[in-house]
Amino acid sequence: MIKFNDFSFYYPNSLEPSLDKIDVEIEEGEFLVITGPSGGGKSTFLRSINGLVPNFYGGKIKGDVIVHGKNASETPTNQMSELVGMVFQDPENQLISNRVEREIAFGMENLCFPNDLMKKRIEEALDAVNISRLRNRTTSELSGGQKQKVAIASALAIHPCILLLDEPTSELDPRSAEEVLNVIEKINDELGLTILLVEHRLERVIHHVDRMLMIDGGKLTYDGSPRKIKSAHIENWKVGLPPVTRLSLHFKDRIANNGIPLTVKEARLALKDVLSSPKKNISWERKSSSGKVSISMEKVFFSYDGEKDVLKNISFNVYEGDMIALMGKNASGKTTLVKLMNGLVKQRKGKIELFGKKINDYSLDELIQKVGIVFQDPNLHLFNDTVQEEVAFVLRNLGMEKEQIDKKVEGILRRFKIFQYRNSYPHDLSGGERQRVALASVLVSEPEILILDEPTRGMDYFLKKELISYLKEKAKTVIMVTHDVETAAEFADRVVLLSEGNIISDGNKREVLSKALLFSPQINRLVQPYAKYGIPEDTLTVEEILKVVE
Amino acid sequence: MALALLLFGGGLVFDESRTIVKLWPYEIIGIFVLVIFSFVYQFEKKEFSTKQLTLIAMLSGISAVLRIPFSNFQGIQPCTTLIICSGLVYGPIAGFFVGALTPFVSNFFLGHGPWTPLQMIGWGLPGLAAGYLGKKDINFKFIIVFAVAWGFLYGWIMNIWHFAFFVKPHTFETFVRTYVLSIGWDVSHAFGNGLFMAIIGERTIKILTRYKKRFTIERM
Amino acid sequence: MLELVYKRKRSVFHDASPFLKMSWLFSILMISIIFEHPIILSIIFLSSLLMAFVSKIFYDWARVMKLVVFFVPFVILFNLLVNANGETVLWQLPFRIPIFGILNITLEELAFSLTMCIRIAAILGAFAVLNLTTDPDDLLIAVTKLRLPYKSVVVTSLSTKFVPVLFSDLKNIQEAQRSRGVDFSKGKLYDRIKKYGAIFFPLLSKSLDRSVQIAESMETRGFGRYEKRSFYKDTKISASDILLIVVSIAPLIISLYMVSQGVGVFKFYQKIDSLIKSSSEAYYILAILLVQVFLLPLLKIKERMAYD
Repeated sequence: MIKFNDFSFYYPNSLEPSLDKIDVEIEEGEFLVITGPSGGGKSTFLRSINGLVPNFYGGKIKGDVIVHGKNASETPTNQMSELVGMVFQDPENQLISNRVEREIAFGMENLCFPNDLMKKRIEEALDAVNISRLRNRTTSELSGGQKQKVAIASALAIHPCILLLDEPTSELDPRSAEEVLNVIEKINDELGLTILLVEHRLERVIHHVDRMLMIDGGKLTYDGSPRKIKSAHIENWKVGLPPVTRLSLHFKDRIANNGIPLTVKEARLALKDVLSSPKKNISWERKSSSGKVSISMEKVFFSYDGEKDVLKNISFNVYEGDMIALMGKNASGKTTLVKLMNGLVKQRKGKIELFGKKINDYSLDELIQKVGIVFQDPNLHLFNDTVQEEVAFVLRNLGMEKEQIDKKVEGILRRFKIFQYRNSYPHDLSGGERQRVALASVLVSEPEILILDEPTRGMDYFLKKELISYLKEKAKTVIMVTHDVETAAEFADRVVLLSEGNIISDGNKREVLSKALLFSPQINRLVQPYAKYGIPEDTLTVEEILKVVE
Repeated sequence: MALALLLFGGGLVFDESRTIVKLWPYEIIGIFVLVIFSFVYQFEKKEFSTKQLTLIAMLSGISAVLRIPFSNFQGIQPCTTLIICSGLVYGPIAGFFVGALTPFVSNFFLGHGPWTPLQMIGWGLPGLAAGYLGKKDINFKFIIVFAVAWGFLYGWIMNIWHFAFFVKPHTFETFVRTYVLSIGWDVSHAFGNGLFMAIIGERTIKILTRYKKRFTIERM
Repeated sequence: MLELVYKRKRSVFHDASPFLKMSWLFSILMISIIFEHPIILSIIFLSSLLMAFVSKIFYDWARVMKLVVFFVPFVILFNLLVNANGETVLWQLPFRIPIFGILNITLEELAFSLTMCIRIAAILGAFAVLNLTTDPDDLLIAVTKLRLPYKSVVVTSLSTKFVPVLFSDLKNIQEAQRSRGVDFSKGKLYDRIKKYGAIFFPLLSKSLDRSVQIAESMETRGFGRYEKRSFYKDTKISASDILLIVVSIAPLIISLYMVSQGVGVFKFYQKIDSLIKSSSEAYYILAILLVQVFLLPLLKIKERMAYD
């Protein structure tokens, strides 16, 4: 079916291989998840199956990839299209038509399908991903998740044997991500397509897949069922296994032989002994706020068009030293709320004060020393010629001396492991690396209040840890907009939930995150039945629970 | 092309009563449309990779967006710089298309009209010319001069439209007056072009070239 | 901000065949180019106004047309400086301007300027109706049906599709750079252009990345696999569409006939013509008006039939 024979690949002008002697065979109908640290070669692996690597990107290759008897490296991608469909990361950049139907027809038009066949296939494809009701819509009015489903339908309509998905959910909120993943599972179950899925958020798919591949530094470092992971592996792993799996690996000897648990349900059974006999009696302290107000908002309303309010009657204080996770569904007003905090948008009604002074009375220079903001898309930030200049930019704007700038810049670049790229052009780096450059370029000026909009999106587990520890050590007050419950549980002290422009919950993270259906971390859900044995019911992370039971 | 030029010559008709050059404006617009189609024909004949097609689409998209008021800031806009740089790096046909699509696409948002073909030529030609320039090794200073020159040429092409539509009678005198009147505007446009090219031109060329160099295949 | 953007709605003209829209536009455009007669131009303008009203886009359309009003003084000033013609002097500028000499404001100049404004309004108005009621993609697809080359159409349609996306990119970049301390409202022209780089370069780089991803997505779906391609859902032209197209072209045919008969010519200089010169002229103009208006009930009937 798919066979990699000693396949290596170097991108043009690169001395390091992106794929290094890959030897692997994939059977028909398998559902594979491919994971690994960012920049490790996952996407390249996927692209060598339909010939985008090397035919599209150029570069050096060795060995070959055989797909259904065709040599993928020597067949142009548009000829592989009848065999292999592919869905990409960014929903915005893969739809080329304004209409849903036309979008799905696009591939078939290229392959000269007759009109009545196209009609039939469009019908099928719409059904397969449950979006028949969207058929006559324009693509620009769809949500990210709906766009991804259209992209999947558009690939399916050609009837490929293999479907490749390159982080299809990384731009989506958890709800839509879940829906898209369900669709993918359904396609594998019902249509029997071979599916290769690159994914960071393993906890949503890992229990459905037949096989897991891990690619790190261009090498295949794990190949097998996720249930067969041995604890020896995990020490060097940079990927985020589901928290319950990580926890279970600590008690591998005490788990029965049917493999490592992958879901909360499985873990509850497998870890019954461990969890019902806690070693220590601990109750978690709840950090209270300093009481010194940095930002105060009083009855704030905001609207973009003057008609519909995006934020309604928000009264909210940020205290010095707060570590806030701001959560909520898409379009709940999170990003607007943080934009108000550094004056990018102006409220319709209400009062906003920054350190006791009205926010509108600040000059821009004063304001950026008080509040730094990093947007989710690093590309918006980057415009200088080198990484070094990019990071030094704000400091130079603030008129700092050269030696001091150099010292600070070097420090932060090393910290984020991008020092080796200091003379590279930022846009030549990988997505994860760009993200770190953007973060560094704002963090370096050490603003009083730091706002991060979805900073961990597309980051692997390892980098998330690094970011959190950096923030805890260096940053004074942080507001992090995030969808990622596990990150919120590890990083924040205080969690604020937003829904349709209202704050619906605001308090200590243990209060807000435990026993909340949609927003509880896995570990919290795991421990609920064991509260009666003395495990605190507001336990949130693996590290915490280990303290109790080890 | 030769045919188009011949027709262009035909547009300048002597009016027997005044013995003065009289411009037949609509004929000229028609000729411009023909010129544009002749480029479309060449574009279709030439082999382009998918990458090059999406690249041309994206560059003209940016250029179109930068033309839309409120998105250009304080009335200054770097369209010409981007068009010339595209021509320099990606060749004449790509340059012409990026230029010609700029008004064609942005007018979907700003308003189409008989002026569209003139604008398409006015912005397409600098891209085309830059494409031929790009084949030689040239000094960047010359490119700045080139951008300034196109500021004027664009103005003169658009004057045909102003003259045709807003001026009556069409005499040599009113023709000259139209061109004299536009000098102020042309100078500021040309000056802006030069300034933009001088400040952001080199970086733009570097970015576009870097992108072009990224794709080649080798076998070990 | 993007006032002329198509918004999906249902109305008689939104749902009309793109070919009908194009023939309607063509007819209006040609008539307004053929004639300089103020009454005919007003009729043409009126006809796009009615169409805007029937298509439920009047509010957006009116906002676009307001721009024409700002345009009027410039046209008058321009004519004053360039033309310096006409007999009926209304007012004389009390001083000389080098090159241009003594300037007279004449009735003829004013009439000509205003008529040209109506003309621009008629053309812009018709295009605005088309822009507001039609997805550019539909037009471009219709154009491929007329055997226009596909490659150019794909490029144009991609470019058009990405304008709103690029526009929001631009806003986001502006915000991101502002929050890094790039103050766009300050500085001399030179500094401002330098700062403009902080928007321009990220937009350029991000878009180049976009273009690669779009190309990937197109190739994985077989773009360029064969020389030819098939087209989904050929919009078939029905008999009623053909009738409507004929009606929409009819005013143009009347106009051409008028020109061949030498009727409808309007002279501004040196002395302005009277509005209606002969009764035959009046009949022709009336005919154009009637045919223009006749299109609307036909559209309505077609809509009724479509619902039944």
